[in-house]
Amino acid sequence: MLKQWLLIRWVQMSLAIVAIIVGTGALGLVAWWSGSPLLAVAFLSVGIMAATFIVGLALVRLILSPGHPVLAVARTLVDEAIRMKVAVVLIIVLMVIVPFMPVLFDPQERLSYRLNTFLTYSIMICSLLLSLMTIFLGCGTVANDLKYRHVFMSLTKPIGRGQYLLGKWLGIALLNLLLICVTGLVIDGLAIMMARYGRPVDELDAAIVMEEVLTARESKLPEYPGDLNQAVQAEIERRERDIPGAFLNMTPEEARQRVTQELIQQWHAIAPLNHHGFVFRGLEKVKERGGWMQLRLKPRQGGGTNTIRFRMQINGREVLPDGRPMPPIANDTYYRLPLEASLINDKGELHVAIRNQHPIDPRLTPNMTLQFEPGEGLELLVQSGTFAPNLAKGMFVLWIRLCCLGMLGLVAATFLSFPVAALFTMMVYFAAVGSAFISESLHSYAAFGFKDDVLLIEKIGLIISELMSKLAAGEIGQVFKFVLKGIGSVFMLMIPSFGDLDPVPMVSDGRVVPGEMLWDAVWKVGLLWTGLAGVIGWQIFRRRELARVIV
Amino acid sequence: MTTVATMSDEKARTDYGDVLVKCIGLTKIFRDFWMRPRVRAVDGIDLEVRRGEVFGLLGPNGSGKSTTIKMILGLLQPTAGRIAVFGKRPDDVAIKANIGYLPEESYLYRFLNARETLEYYGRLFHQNRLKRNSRIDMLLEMVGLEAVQRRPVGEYSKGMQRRIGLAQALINDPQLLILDEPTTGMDPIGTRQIKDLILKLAERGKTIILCSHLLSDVEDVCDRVAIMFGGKVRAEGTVDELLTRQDATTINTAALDDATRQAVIDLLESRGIRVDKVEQPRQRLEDLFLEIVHQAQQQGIATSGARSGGQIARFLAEDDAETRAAHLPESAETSKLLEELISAGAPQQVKAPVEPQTPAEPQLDTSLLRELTQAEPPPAAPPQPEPQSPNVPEPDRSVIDSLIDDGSSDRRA
Repeated sequence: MLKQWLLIRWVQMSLAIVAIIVGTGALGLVAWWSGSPLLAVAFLSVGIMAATFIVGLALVRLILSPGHPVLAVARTLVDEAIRMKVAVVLIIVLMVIVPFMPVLFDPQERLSYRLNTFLTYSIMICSLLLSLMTIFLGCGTVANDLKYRHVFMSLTKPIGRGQYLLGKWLGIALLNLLLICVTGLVIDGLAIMMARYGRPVDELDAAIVMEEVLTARESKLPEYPGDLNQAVQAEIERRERDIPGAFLNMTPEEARQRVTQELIQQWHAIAPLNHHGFVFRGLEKVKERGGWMQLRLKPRQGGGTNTIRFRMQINGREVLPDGRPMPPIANDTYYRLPLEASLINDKGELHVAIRNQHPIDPRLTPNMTLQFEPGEGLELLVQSGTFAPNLAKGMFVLWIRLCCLGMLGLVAATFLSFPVAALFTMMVYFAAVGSAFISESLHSYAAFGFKDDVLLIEKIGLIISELMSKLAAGEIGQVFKFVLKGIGSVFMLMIPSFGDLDPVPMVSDGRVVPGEMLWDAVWKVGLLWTGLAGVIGWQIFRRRELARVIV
Repeated sequence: MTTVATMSDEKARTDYGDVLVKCIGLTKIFRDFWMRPRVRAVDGIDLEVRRGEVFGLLGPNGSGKSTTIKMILGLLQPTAGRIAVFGKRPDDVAIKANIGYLPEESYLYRFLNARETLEYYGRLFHQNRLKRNSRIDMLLEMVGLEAVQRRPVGEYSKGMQRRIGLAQALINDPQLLILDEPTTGMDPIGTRQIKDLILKLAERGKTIILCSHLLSDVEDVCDRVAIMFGGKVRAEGTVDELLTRQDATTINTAALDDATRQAVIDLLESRGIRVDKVEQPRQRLEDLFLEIVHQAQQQGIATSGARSGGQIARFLAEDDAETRAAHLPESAETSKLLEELISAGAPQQVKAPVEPQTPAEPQLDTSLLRELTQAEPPPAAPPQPEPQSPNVPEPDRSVIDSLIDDGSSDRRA
């Protein structure tokens, strides 16, 4: 009877898949005949996504079928997820929004822009929806097990409380892995379809799609002319000689860091009618590979000007091939200049000279310094991989974040009821996503009168003495701000930092997701934070009286 | 704040012997949000549950029965006192492999169907697919839910949920079965089946703790009883000890005509014995109900609910040493300890019908019961009760046997 039932179940699943494919295929055909190929692709993508999910789900359940308590809990969680309304709704929304997103774009828009927007929003929506699902599922499963006393039945069996939490986490992790894979596949497929069948505005647009969006590029920064260390040392000595007390209250390392930063900024700042040279080295492989590179600029000029004019030469030639001058560029805005790899010389170098001078009439040059932010303000982007593996790396980082979030949700529910645990986990999630911004805001909200790099014990002592002096001076407002900052700082110390682990802008901008990000994701978020949260949750849960009655 | 929670391992081992569960000075105080003590749910009780006995924990609502059970299972920590289960702390995961537990309500995942539910609990016991499926098939048949095993548990009636709850408690063939109000929500057939199951499991050396406020349930199946009230054990002993009246005698005979009856009364009064009451005995409503349902089933009248259920699952009837050893905790010292327990001989049964040396085959027991019940009752039963089987209503068991073995006895023959 069991075999018959299993057979029926597999037949049912196969029929469901066929029905989905046929149904969405039929809708797609109607859309195709109606002259909407993108709509047809969207319908078909929904079908493929749903079918892949069903097959993947069966596979996950099969993987979790052996008789082991951890796998049993994980499998039941997967069953719970696909029968839990909130989770199912979020999954369905994901499966509809992503495939239909390309249909929503204006076909008159540049294809590269459409593709860039599609990648940005599809990955962001995937991340957001799966995060919400993970929070609801993680908090809901433990909180409901406690509320509806399922634990009375489960935890009187030979399963430890740590194993129980591990099983729940494993279920969440595998479900997220499945959804991330399915969504990643569909995003990749749709991006390729858009690039192939979407109509580019012009040839440059078509080239940008392939060379700057559906690719994985690496950032190269110009090398400082001459020996930077020597220059820094010379500058330090000069200041110590000429400016008494120039490095007062600074350690030698701090003085070196400050001078290095200032020299690089000076190098990126060009006085009126002057020019600076920037050399990008180590580009031999890029030259061999051929194709296109991208020079990314973000010029800035004071004086309230909206547009900036300057001259730029590459390898001694005016930047635009037909000799036209550089067009006006919006102030403090990114500008991308496509360059052929053939411009790299035989030494693997690309020489860029920028002159702060009006390209047509030098007399029109404003008396303002032209500045580029070191780093992203002046960089060369060169191809170092392909789009699909880069997307996979980005989705992997998102999955690690989701695994951590799942564990946080489980931990919160070990001592909080479902709504409180869900709110708490959401707060942690949004704080983690905006961790960089919040830390910066806290720093500027109330600055202490001492440096940040002192020891923690020393710092606490300094904070207390500063608070006491403020209190003695009657500066209650300042004290209040310091207390708030202290609470915020402690909170930020306790949450994982997702802000530095956001692959979305990189993938959508065709930039390679760096290995450091993958390493940080695995080590810091996947092992450290998730492990720490898991241990804390286990300690709370193993001490908790599961049948406690509060009277 | 929790103080001493359990006895030390050394102490527990010393006291283990034939005692599977031992509580000394067990106390549980529930506190309010501010951690102020509010309710003393269990108040310094001492309990012992011995191997192979059916132990009844009796008491009105709020007397501390369930709290005691939950402390034994490690779901609650004692405020004071000590507990040892299989000679170990209740929170030791290894001992759970030998325990089956049916809580006061079946707290099941509503989204799983009956089969998935049992698969889940089977996996928690590390059971492989073959063993799991075989046991699930037997248990579903036993609790009469085979036909509705694909329906989500959330759609089940309370009685059906109790049945699946009972099945999950038995999936590991436990040495210690803890049943908290097992007949709650059950129809009389289910109630009777559970009582019959308890008796059969007890016959096979299983230890059962039955927690109930239904006096008849406890009286029918338990060997020893502790009566709780206000968190304390007010009385404890065998059912016989507690219930036998020394100041009265009942004589059962075939129906007597008026003259004979008067003659007996005269005889007794002539010897100075006062006759308080002479009456015609009545059939129990439970027996009548079961008979009617049995007849309906024989007529093939359909029902969308649970069926009557089949005979006891085969794996529960197995009682060889190998099977028993397979359920014991893994650690060497515990294994040794339990081996000693097993080698110490068969469980010290309180009930007469229990024959520890008898091969554990349900067919034998059933046929024995049938023979007993089919035999003509003696014209005048001896007035004194059977000393070792005071609480086993044999005729009742024959009724349920004939119900649950419907047709199967023929097949066996």
